[in-house]
Amino acid sequence: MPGVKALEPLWSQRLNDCIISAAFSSDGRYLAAAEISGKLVIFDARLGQRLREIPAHGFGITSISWRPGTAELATAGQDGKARLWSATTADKLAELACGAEWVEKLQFSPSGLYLATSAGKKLRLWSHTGELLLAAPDHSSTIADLEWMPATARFPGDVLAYCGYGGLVFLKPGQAQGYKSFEYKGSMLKIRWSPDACFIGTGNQDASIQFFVLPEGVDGPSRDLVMWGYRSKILDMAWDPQSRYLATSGSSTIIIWNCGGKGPAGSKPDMLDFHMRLISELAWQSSGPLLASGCEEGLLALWRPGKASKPLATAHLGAPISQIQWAPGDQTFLAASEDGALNLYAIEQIK
Amino acid sequence: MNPSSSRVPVTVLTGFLGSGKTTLLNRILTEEHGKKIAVIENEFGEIGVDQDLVINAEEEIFEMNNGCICCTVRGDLIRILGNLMKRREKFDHILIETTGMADPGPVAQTFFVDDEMQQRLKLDGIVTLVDAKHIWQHIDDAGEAKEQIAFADVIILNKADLVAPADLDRLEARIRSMNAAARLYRAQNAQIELDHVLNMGGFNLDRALELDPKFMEPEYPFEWGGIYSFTPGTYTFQVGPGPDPEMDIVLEPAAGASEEDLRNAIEKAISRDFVTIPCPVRHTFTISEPGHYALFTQHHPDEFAASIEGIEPLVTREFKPDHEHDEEVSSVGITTPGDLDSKRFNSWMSELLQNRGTDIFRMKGIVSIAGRPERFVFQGVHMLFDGRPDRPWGAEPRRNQLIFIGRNLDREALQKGFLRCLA
Repeated sequence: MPGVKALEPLWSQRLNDCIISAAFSSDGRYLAAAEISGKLVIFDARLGQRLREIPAHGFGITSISWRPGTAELATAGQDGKARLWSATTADKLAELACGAEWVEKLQFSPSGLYLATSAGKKLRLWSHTGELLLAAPDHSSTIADLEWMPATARFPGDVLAYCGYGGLVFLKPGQAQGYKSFEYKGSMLKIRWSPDACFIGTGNQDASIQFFVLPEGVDGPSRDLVMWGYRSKILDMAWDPQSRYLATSGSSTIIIWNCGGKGPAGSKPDMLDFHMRLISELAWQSSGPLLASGCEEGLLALWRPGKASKPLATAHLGAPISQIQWAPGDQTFLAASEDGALNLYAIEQIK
Repeated sequence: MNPSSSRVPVTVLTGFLGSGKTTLLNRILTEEHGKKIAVIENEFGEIGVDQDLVINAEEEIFEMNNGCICCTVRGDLIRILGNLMKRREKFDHILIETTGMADPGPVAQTFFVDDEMQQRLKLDGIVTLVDAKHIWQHIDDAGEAKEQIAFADVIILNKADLVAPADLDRLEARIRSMNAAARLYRAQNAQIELDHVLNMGGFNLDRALELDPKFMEPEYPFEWGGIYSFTPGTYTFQVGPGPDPEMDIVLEPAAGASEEDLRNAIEKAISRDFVTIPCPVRHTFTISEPGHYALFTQHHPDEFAASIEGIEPLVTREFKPDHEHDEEVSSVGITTPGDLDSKRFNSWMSELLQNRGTDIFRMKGIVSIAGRPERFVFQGVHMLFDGRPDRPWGAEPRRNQLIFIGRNLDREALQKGFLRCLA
């Protein structure tokens, strides 16, 4: 494509299996990548050197989460367990029995005090040291995703949202079960809070997304609307740093909804075309204007939505993109693939 | 869409509690078959083997569209299988065990409704284990037992050793009347050739026909027929006790002792008045004209240890019985030569599925589309339909074979509707 640069990685590594999850520690020093078949690899994020390899779960890892402000991280596995690890020593710090065999999701709260895990219908809350704080009553369906509310000055405190068939549930540490819910007659697969915590987007199995507008935060009044017409179920979504735009997958076109003013109701979304197959990953910078996207064909694209309708730069990883994440500071981002490629790119290259 | 060959086959294992699912799974996992198999067992599953590739799932069933049972799927499967298919270590086969009371519909539909599943996996078959001794307790009352039988591609009558052969025959006839397309095997302790369970090739209708050539036939009021050569005299038809206190029989002159003569005698025999004899009995009859005669019996003689004393049949044939009908669940088979007008066939099919999709559990077919050199094969679950071109017809005569399995099916309407699609 004329005028589109080729992205060249700062460093490139290859793991032995699909990288199901990859993430930077909050200080940006470490990059953890999880092979779907169970191995966790810790890299020096700047140099790309392998520091440690941890056989974290026998049959497979499903997700990972760094504890904010530390070099500790948690892994969830297909062996009924979540485990806490030290990235500096590779020591196992704790092992948590999550109540069912397929532990699908886990995430540390922004405060770093709590860890939420989901396994089938079981949601559990743990202290950061691995002490069980709550085994919530079985959810009505298997839990497909969970995400903590972002930390904001306006809405302090940790609030967890989790979803599945039937809707979205909110839970605060210290409570015996979810205290609030939004029902939906369908299966929600993904939750994405906006950075200001005034919106939640959910991506649904029935090829729709749902917005919950929460101008006063999760405890205030709310309204919601559903956007239909996607080609496929929604694999990923990403908010821009101003909480105005939500980029969504669900086809080979990136569809970006404008939530400014009374939007997105009645607004026409921005549509970015480049990918030829289903978009699998979307990641917006945490404070900048750039959006990175990846698709099932293995194409990676960097965009500046609102300024240009074609990508600024692209690369081809050769296998479906399984993870994209910006490093703290927004200067680099990682892209990982289903055949084990792990590349780090710098935006300096496209300036 | 990927060609079907590159998609990983999935077998769904259903059956009531105690039917032997876990025994079969354990066998599959421990036997040397050279296949790499991943098993997704139900939340109460108890596979005894220390096996890495066994995943325990909580059966999450939901409707993709409000209120439409044809679009209920297993959400947990979509996520678990989606994950499995990304692994470098590829599986040759995936086995999914359902809980005893599960309706197989949502599991099967999962492979039609979700794009990702459809691209990477194919439903190879639904295997239903039946506890031959205890199924009678459920077959009339529990809708799930009927559905598990109706949905099956393969039905294993397990614990066959605990049941008298005549009862097993009766059970088999009953099951056949509900699902004529499934392959039926008798087993004890779930001992069955794994080839019968894995890699059935989904809608391999050719094979279903090979194994049960009777299933497309009209139904006759008798289960058995045989041609005898009589000289004038008096004969005794000796009948022992059996599952029925009486039996209808008819004797019809035949032109000779070939299979064709037996076939020709059938049509004449149907229009005759049958004689009802009590069982057990020694029924005597007299032959005045020498020659060949065909005897047709309502029940299979083996069930009653029945025979004509002092004389053996020269040719025999078994027929699909019509007296064990399930009032609700049945199969309708259509087989006819000729080419289909693709437009007419599509519109008939879509109208049929729209109106009757809830009642049609399964359908399978191989059809000949006018102007297309290759066979078109399809299978469906409720309203969902997966069809694709298959190998070329080549020298094989072009024809259409379809089977519908469902509740309250109107045989005549289905046949008429289909015949109108011929080009």
